[in-house]
Amino acid sequence: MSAVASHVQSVATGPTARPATAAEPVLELDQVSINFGGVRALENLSLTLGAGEIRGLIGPNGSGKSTAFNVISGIYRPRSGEIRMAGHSVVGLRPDQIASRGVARTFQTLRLFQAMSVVENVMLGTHLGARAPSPVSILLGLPASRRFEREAHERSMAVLEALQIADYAQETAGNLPYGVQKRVDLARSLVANPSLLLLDEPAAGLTGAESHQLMELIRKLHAERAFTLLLVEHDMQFVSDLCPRITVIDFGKLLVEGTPEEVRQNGDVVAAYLGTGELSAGAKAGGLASKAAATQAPVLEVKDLDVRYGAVPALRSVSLNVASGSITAIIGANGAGKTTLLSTVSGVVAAHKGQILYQGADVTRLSCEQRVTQGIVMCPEGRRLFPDMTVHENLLLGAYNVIDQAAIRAALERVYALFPRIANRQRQQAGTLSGGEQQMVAIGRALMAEPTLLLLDEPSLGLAPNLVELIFETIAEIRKLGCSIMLVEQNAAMALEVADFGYVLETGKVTLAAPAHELKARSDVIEAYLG
Amino acid sequence: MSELSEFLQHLANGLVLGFLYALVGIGLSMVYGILRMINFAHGEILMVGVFLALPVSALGAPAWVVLLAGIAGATIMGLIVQWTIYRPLLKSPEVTLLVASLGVSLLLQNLVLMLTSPQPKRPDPAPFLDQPFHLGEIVLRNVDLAIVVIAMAAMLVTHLFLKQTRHGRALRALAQDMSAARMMGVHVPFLVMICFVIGSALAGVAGVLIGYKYGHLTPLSGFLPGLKGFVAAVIGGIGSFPGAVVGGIILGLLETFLVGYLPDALAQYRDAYVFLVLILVLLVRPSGLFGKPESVKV
Amino acid sequence: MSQATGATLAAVGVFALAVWAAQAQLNPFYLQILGLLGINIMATVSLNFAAGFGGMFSLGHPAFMAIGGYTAAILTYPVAMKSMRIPGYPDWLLQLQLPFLPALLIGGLAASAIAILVGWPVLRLRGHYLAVATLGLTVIVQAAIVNLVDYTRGALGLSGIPGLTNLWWIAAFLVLTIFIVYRLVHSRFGRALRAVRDDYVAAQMSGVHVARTRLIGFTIAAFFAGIAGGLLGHLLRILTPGQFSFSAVFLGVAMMILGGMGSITGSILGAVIMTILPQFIIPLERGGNILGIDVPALNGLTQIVTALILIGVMLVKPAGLAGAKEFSWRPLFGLSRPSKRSGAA
Repeated sequence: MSAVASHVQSVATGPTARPATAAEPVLELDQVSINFGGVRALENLSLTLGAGEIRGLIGPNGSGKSTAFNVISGIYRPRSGEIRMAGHSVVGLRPDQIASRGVARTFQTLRLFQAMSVVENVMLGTHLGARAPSPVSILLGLPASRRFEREAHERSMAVLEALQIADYAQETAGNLPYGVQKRVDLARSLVANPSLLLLDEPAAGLTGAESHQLMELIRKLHAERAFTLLLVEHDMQFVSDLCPRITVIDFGKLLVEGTPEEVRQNGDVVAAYLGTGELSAGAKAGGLASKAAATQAPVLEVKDLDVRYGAVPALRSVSLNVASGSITAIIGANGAGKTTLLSTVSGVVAAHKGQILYQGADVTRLSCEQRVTQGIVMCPEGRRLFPDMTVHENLLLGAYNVIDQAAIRAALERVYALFPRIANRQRQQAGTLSGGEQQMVAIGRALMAEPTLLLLDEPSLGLAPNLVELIFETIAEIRKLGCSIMLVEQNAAMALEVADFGYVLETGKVTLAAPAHELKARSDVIEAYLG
Repeated sequence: MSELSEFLQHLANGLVLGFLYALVGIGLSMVYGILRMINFAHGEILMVGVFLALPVSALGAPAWVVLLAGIAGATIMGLIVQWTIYRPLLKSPEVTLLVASLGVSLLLQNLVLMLTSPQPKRPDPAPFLDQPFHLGEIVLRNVDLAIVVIAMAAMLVTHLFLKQTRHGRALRALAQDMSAARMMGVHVPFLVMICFVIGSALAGVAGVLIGYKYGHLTPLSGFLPGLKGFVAAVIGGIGSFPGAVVGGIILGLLETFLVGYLPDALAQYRDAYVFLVLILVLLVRPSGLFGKPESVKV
Repeated sequence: MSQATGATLAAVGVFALAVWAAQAQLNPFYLQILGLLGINIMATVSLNFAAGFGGMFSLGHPAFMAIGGYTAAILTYPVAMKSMRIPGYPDWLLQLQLPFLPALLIGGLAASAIAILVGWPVLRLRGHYLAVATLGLTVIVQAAIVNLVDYTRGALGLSGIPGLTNLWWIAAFLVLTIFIVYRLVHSRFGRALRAVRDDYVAAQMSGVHVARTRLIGFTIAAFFAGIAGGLLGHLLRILTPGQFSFSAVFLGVAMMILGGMGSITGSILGAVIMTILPQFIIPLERGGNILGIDVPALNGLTQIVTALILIGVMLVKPAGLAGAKEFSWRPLFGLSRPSKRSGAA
């Protein structure tokens, strides 16, 4: 294979082959900040990559990793700060101009040219290569144009061979299995022979063996071509094995930079991933209430649930119960399938196999709307408020299927009593609220539907620690209203404080199931997050 | 006539025209806001509505009955089209919906052409509506006044529906975040239907009013109002209810003033100006006056 | 020379023979229908280049055809009649009469120039604003033709255009159009164009200048539409604004959609069906006694059938008859796909 790869390199010409001098860092982020609708996505982030370096960029969900990629590749323009490549500022350049400086990237969600063949997709990666033949030459099929096409084709095929997907070369990209599409994306970025390669979650959705193969491949290619690599990946094992240095960010800010070992030992990193926090005694689970709850009939039973996105398995025979009146926490690393599980229970995502029983009745085939009327209500990740509507209107939408006006008024009072802070902001547009207030409205909106089973997806995501505590204490309050709660949370420490029972998900499977206080004491939970 | 009163006359004419565009634009804007679909058949719904109201008018019914008949006709037609053609395509790519709406537009135009005589038609004259109406030096007809009053009433009802009722709120929610709305228990196909009902009813109002104001109805009468309604919605910011209203009025005024003040040789291109305005707006402020820029999702 | 290239050349030869036979044997009525068919295929292939391959859903193609058609016609118009019928032009133009080929090419370039003017602001937008803006172009061009009586003879139509075209001209330009579009689609530029259609962000990250690529593609499509318009004027010997109306927009879209967006083969199929089918419907439109049955006049029946086909295709087979596939000799010769490794050898 190395012969093939070196062949690739020898054919490559053009601006992408320019080597960076040792003195100038290949990539330099200097105090870069960017906002989205009042939310700080990156805050004074600085990062320096030397020539030939492999760097891991990690951080909990929503910490700004993908935003960093999008800023570097020119899709977003930073609000302030400077981005330099080989010493020259690239702020304000279009993505294609940045690409022409030798930057290539892959995408977390697949962004292939769906209707084109695999080899054509990869040939796009050669777009910036050798000088294009003249239009006349193209139209008449002169030797120059034939040679150009043949070389682009050969380079592309060579990379496909190297990635062991040459068999798919003529297939339409959009029809292929996820793992193959991931590799096509990688091939498209590699064929450009970049000096800086940005890989966004290359191992997502791959099996253990596949991701091991991928890692070997990246190592080999790096050894042969000496590009600089910045890698975002949630699989900590993958990052630790591949990257000598890791940069950890949280809330868009630099948290730590160091070797994998240093990062793993760092208390801030463990806290960023697993969360910390103290709850008041009343909010903590494990009291009488939860013991009583454990003996109750389950309000929700999930049996052998399989979910796939296209060909990608997201959940594999997941079974679990939520006891009536309990808080059940689902924890696990980013990408483990937590949100998919909640979405399947709520009916947003369809189950591929298995059963969902709610109060003893099968709801697997019911639509999302029907499940809401039966009392299964979802409070989605990232709040998902209706930004142009007022707080009051958002709450009323939660009660869309409640016809009884008196019941709506009572529910409104309950929500405002639970969250006095938003009671003062009833007439304010939801999009203008702070993150914490938005989360309160989101939970309040779900409560307006008078749920029996509340599905809470990442309620603490992106919130400052004191607000996190407030939200979790409110969750404990909500349980007291007689509502069962299924809680998906990255902040495992807090989730297990408040929950009665916990399940740990890893790559779509339940790997641990125990009462929350037992889980809390176990060290292998940390491993599920940090490898 | 003094220069000032000439100006005021154009202003009044432009406002009247603007209200008609706004009525058409609202339906287009709402449908686009939810489905990202340009409904090219919207103007034809308007045209079918008024053609269905013509026999009622021929029976000697008063104008308000004709108006109700037009609303009913357009609404029923809109429902039929939505139910039989757009509903099965709800999850298709935008371009499929767009092409289907082109087909519906062509189908309705020619069905009406086949089923009616080729002469242009008009509702039976309503003497009251044709009487002049003086406002200082400005001369309008009662029908112009009726257009403003009825259009404002129809918009007010729509506004109240969107603001105060649960289905109205759900419609707005749908345009902002469809999947979050589903999580609140909103049944999407039902609300899409409601959306088409409202848009079609407003188009029916506009159709009958156009009939009384201009007469000369042909199967092609809906086409340009439909297109201009869309331009109005784009000017105001497509997907925004106030945007469609303001955009319609701006467009009506622009068209009237351009035609009024340009030399005759240039004034003939009134339809062309509308699209020049569209291209200008897209160039300067693609998200319109009230719209929000669409962000790149990566 | 590969087997497929040989087969293609042979097919072109057979086609030339067929054109020769048709030109020699058929009566003018059928010749005109065949000529129209060729022009329709050209127009549809060029529309498909913009919409199907470039993702730019243009409803302005009839406008480009009109610009190309009127420009070419004015350039070939007999000097003797010019100052009487279209006296608005400056003297040098009134005295000018060009041969057919340069006139045709200038017509195509004029259409391209307008495409740049309209495309530059509008193509930067995503979504289907382009459809409305280009439909607006059709409205504008029509209004211009109707009103510029001294330049176009307005609604009367510009008659007396010399009948400079015949089946040979049309066939030659048709083959040329298909050849060029095919070459372009499979070139570096065509790949970039299709990539922008599928995912413009990923295309940008591969170094594609999105706005420029789209504008060039749009301009090329307009050029071929302009040529098709020029051929049309010199075939029918008359141009009227009605030929480039909304029904022309619909018909073009119907041909493309029926065949399949992103398939040249599909465009040919779609244009053939939608050109031949109306020939059977037009007698019904007039009404009268057909096969012993009294039929009332059914105005607009052709359009209704067109519309129903358009809607039916969207409901039943939105990808069209050919999908995004192209005709290939390989299945006919029993050749397998080129081996996956042959390209890298």
